[in-house]
Amino acid sequence: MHEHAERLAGSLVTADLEFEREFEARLADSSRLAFRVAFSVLRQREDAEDVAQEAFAKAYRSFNQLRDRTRFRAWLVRMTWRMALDRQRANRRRMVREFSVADGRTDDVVEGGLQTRLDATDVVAARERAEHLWSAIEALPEKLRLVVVLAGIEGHDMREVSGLLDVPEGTVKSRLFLARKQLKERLSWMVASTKS
Amino acid sequence: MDGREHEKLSDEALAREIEDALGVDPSPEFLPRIRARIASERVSESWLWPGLWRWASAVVAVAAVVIIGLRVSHGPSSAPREEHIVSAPPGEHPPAPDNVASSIETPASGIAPVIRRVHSIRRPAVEAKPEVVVSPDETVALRKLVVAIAARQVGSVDVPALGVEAAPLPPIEEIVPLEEIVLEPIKLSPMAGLEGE
Repeated sequence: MHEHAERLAGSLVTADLEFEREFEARLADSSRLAFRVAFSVLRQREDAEDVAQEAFAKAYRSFNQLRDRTRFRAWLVRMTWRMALDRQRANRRRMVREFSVADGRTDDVVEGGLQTRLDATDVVAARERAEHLWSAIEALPEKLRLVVVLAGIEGHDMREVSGLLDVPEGTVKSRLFLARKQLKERLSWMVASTKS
Repeated sequence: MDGREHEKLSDEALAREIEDALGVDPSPEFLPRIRARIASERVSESWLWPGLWRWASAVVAVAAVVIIGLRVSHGPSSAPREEHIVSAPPGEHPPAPDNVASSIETPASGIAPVIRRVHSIRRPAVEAKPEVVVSPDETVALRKLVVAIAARQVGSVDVPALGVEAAPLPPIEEIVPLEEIVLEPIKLSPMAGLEGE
């Protein structure tokens, strides 16, 4: 009886350790993805980190319920996207209440990937460009927006995006085509209005 | 890419632009913060289950106390009733309540029917004996008859020899015809309290 109890306890501890190890591997593999998905919506590093952290905590709580562990990244992306949209809505409500428009959000963009390529004289132009680009992305329908964002993160190809979104590759291709078309139209219009 | 380049924006340029915009890395504290958060989840989870068990056992205990309390509170009202039924002697009956059944028995010599009340109070099966209503004279006669039959002293019975004579019928003239019964029609008047409603 005592041996059985010890064996059971031992197997439980082993299962627990395996669970922790597996989740740690997923965390190391997907943390940047979750952050960037959140950032694509929120465009503020702190908010994006908070949301990604919450998404991982939620994923940890529900990790045992995930039957196919290979679907973890897709699951995490959807969860993070939803949570980021929720946070964005909450932020907007708060901003409306406080009558203050977030001026500093382009700073985060400049802090990121673009900044490394720019020297000091291009800062103003980069801000304007980034603002235009983000405005155009934000104006896209949600399905197109998510495809564009996922295709733009970590060089995902069509197959990877279709796996993350759980939709056929052809659907991803057509959505990406539509999204790029709309983006180009919007950015051209903005350029034309700026020039005139 | 400046304003002029937007006009001839190719797919590749757009993709590169988006990649650049999204190429933001989290701060170095990001991963440690997530790990700390997950560790706190682990701790709260380990506290949560014993807490749930504690709550569940408390609920079960309260439910048990309530059930026992209800049984105890209902017990005294039902127990004396059973005791009353069991202790009731077979011959004695309480004054006629509403739940009695009446049986009408017509005696041989009497004019008016005798109404006997038989109580329908439930009794245990052991004490349930059917009530047989026999007059004492008839009882004695029946006993004698049974004894005589047992002793084979009774053969064929000659009824006129027993001296039993049929009761003489009254003469037809003495029979008084019954008067016709006239019933007045029943009038139903509305109840005073309901008129105003």
